[in-house]
Amino acid sequence: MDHRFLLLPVAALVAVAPAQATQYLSADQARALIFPSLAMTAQDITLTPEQARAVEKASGASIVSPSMKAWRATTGELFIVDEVLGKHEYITYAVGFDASGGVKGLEILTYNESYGDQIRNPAWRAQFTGKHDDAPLVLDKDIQNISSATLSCKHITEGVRRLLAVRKVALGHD
Amino acid sequence: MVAIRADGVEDDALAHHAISAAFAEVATVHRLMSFHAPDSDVSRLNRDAARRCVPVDWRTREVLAMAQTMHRMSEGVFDIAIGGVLAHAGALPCPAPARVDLDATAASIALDDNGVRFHDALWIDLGGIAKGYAADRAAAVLQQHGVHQGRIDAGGDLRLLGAGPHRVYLDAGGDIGPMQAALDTGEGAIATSSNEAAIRARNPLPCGVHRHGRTKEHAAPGRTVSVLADQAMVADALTKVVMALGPSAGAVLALAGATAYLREKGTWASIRDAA
Repeated sequence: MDHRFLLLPVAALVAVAPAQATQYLSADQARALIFPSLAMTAQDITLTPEQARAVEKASGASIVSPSMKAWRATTGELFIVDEVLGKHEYITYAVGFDASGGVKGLEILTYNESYGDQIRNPAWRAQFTGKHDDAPLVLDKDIQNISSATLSCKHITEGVRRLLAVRKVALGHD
Repeated sequence: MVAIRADGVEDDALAHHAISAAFAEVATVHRLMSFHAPDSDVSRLNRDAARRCVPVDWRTREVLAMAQTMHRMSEGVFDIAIGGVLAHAGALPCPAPARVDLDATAASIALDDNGVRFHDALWIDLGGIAKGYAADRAAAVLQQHGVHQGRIDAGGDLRLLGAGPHRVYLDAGGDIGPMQAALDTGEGAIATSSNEAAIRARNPLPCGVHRHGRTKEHAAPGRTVSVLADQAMVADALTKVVMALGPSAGAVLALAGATAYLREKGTWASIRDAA
């Protein structure tokens, strides 16, 4: 059997871990997919502790980091990059909101696990399109599960719910 | 624990169907070859084959045939007739009230068209080969379903499908030191076995199961071995041979067309045929 035996320095292994990390899109590429040719300005969001609590209360999802990268358009559109835990590793995802606060698009930017990346499936992500902050966004209710990617599906669903709340709480949108 | 992964399949439903079928095949192999289940082929053989011919499933026959080949190639170091010794040492439960001859070897097993006959009273244990075979069968089922890339991890026995290259990290247990051993390989199988204290501690058995088939002696402690072969069944069986023989297993490996890496005293070395 054709093979190669390797002795790899453990320090280097730690540095390159996780081995499966895949970056699918940069933030700019994801933004261009959701808002083609819309001028947006980078304007990061940092939640105050009170806002973070309000977001957690409204969404039922806990905050990973109070700071997130965001871009806004003068016409009211908003694009936020955020992270959720998949099974063991963080998934970086981005949500674009139209001027009315509805989800315009969801993109997966990086995925660090060797399984569960079916959440990149466009049909699965399309389920979020048009959802507002009054939608339940609950797995197996208004969002379908993918059987072998349950945790990733659940956490992305919570993440979208959380960003809907962030938009409402931090930017004072109704 | 078995993990099965299918890659390169466009249709998710197809991949799931293939994986489910592969798991079902693993369960079938386990059911047939369990030393513990009273209705397995192995239990039926241990109970009756010394008295009369016992018909078995074609899969059990394949494993027994390979076990005999490995017994011959290793000049008795790999011996599935070790079941009696292991049961008496407490590593396996004693099956049935059947009498057992602890000196009997796999050479006393006769396969013919009707079934299996033991010429001595012996207890076979397929624990040293059946897990690898289960991984091979799972791979065959995936291929029948059109899956040609993937991996089956049957806990120490890894069967890799597709050219890869597949990177496999070798777990020697305990403190691995500053370097981690890994293999980059194509399609084939890798089996790893260890009697390192840290690995042994994960196992509930009251004594080690690595024995020399001929002398019945325990393998030298502190050994970890990884064997590469085309079939997981062969790699699995050969880990027992390398555990028992250590660096002098080269000739057996060459006969079987396999390669092995042995870790002793914290150092990995490849085993070569001295001849």
